[in-house]
Amino acid sequence: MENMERVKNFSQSIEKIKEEIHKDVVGQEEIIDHVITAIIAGGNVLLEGVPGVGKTRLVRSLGRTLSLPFSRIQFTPDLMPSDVTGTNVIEKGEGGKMNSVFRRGPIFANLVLADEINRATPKTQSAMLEVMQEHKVTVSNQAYVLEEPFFVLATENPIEQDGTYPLPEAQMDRFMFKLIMKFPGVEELVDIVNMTQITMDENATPVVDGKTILEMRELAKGVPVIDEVLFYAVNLISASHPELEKATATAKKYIKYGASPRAAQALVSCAKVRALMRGNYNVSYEDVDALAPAVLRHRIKINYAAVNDRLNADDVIALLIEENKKLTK
Amino acid sequence: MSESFKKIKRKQLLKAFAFGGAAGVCCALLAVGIVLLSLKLSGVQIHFAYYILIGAVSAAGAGVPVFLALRPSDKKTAKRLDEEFALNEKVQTMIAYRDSQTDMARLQREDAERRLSELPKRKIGWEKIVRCCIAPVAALAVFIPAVALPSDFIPADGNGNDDYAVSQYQLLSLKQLIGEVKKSSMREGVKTSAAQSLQTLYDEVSQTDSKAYMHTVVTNTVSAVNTAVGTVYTYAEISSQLNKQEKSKALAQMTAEAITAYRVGGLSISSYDRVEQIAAQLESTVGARLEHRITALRGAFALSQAEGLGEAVSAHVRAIQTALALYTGNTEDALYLSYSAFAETLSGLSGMIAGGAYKDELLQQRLDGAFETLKRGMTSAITEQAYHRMMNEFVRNRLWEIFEMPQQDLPPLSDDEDLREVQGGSGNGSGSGDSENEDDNNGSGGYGDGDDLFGSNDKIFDPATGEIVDYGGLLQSEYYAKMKDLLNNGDLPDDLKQAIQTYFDLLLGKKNPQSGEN
Repeated sequence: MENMERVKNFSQSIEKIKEEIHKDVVGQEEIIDHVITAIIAGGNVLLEGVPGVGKTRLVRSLGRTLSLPFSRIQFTPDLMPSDVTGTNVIEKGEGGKMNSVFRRGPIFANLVLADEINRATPKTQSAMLEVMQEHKVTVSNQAYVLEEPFFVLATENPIEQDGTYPLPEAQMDRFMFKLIMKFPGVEELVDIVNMTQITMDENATPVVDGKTILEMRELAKGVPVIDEVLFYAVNLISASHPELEKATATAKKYIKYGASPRAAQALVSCAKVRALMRGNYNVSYEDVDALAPAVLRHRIKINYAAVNDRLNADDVIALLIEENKKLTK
Repeated sequence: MSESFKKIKRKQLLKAFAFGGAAGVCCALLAVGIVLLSLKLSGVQIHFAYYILIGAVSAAGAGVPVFLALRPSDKKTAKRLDEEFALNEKVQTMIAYRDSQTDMARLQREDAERRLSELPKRKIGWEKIVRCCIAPVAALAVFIPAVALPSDFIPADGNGNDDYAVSQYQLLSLKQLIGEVKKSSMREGVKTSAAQSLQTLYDEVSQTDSKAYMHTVVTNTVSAVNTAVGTVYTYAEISSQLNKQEKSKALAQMTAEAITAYRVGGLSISSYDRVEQIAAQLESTVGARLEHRITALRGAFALSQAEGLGEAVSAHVRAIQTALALYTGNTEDALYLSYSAFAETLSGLSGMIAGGAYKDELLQQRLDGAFETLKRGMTSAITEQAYHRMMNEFVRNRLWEIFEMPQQDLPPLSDDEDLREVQGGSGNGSGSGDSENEDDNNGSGGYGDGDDLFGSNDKIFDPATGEIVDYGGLLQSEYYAKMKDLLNNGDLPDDLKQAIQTYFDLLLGKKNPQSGEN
């Protein structure tokens, strides 16, 4: 009974979260939706956007709303792995004894903003990504488990090409979503300017806590998915592989590498969360279609034919979705 | 299970029954209509039970698949509802997780049930009603005209309508014909067989309603009578064999011409009165026809021994004997015996000539006797065969008349070809073997010296056969026979009769125009 109440209250809780976030962030509904989905689903998000669109503000606001400690890591080429995870330092203890004490790094938070992750060296990136995957830090053979919920929002700056270390595909796969934060529209920009002219303070207030997020995560796992929808989601992932039998014409023509099985897991997990967020108690085809671009755009690699035809990853994914509809529905 | 869902599913089932039934009825009407229309237009009728069978099979063939296709299963109904009302797979999930007792599953079912209960009542639009009416209207559009069309829609135009009903006239005429055949002078066996065939025809045409079938039985009857009468003909084979030997060609042609002696005046023989009329004079007509040929043939032997009489006789004997040896028919036949006796007589004469003991005058007398005997024998034999041929022709013509059969379908007599083959050499037959005297090729008409009696190769239309024949052949056969008929039966003054006879005798070389003697 208690669970039923929680389920019924799920979407209301989400609405409250969004309402609070909108006190600090103007527009970006889809980004906010996806970020909340990823948090509840237990994934991480890679955010691509030009400077100044509100990435840091979003995560900070999210942290406040969810009552979760927030930290920001600015990645630079000279950032070391220990700068992220923390390190052992020698301290003089009581009685003058020298002790080795672990100083926690900025990664020890519930919400972490990893800014410009592609500026760090591959070594630092891999240290970060290992933490993202395992939710624990190992230093000098000592493992330090991170508190749940643990969520990383990593950013990439699309315009800065020099001095960057692009994340390899295998690492990109660890992000549940890749979101593109677009430059706000004129009206949104007007609202931003108006708001920040009055105050730069962030006004979001806590509405849920970490425990609630974890409960919501558990609730979302129980959302039923019929076989047809499951098959639909899985088929979409298979269809993206040009070497497979199930590959669609689009995949064969425009895709070099298809999405991994993690994409299928991410798609279904997030579809369940999305369904609940909308007050539905089952996953539908619409949920899968809505999440597919965010799940797939960083997991498939388009080839020169797509570039030649002026198609980007989102265009190719849209074609894949259409073909999948015809094949499976 | 959700009550709303059950209610919807029941409606779907009723709809499946209704559509299946409607599809079955439409298909049955369409199939029966098409079959009925086709059969009526082609004039064919079938038992009513077949239409019921066609309708039942069509109804089942269309109705059952439609019902099965529309018959709702839970899954199908759920999917249809989700798609139609954009329920985001709520109903399908409800069905798939109907047995799950988790909180989420129960909440999901409640949510789906609530949405189902809120579904608006569907209004059936005009478009859908019109679409649903298309099939029944189309089926009725075929069925009603098919039923309304009269069975005898296709009129009897001879070009496709097969309807036939024998008339009283035809039956009476046929009955009369049977009687005429029975009282004819044909041989008993032939008469019985012909009458039997005609009786069978009578029975068949009384029952049939098919014109095509009637045509067939009439044609078959003509063939049957033809076959029966043909058993009497021996002249065909005899004259065919004689025609193969150079020296006996004249005999062959003489035989073939005599057989058609009954065709007097070119009139079609289609009444029994005519048959009787001709039959009364047939023997004299045949005799007259034979007489000329025999006279001409006799002329080939008007030689002295020194001039080669012996050789002429021998040559003819050999030819006749060879022909008769090749003959495979009845050797008791009168015509065969006539020729056989003639050959034997000539053979005896040949022996006498070889012996050299007899004067020409005696030999000529003996030849006269042989030819006279031949003529008598042939006249009798050929008269009988000619009579049978005439009866065959009469039956054939009469049947064609009674049943109004197309003239071009009239089958030939069985021996027409043989006759034509033999008669094809008429005018060129030689009795003496001297074939060099061809003085009739200048087309000047009249007659000249040599073997060709008439000396003319002018052609003329023969009304009896409808063919173009040698004038000479027609003169000596048809014209002469007609002349004799008129002289014997016509009411003419004696001196006129004499004049006519003399004219023909002169034409036929029986009289010397200078001396007036034969």
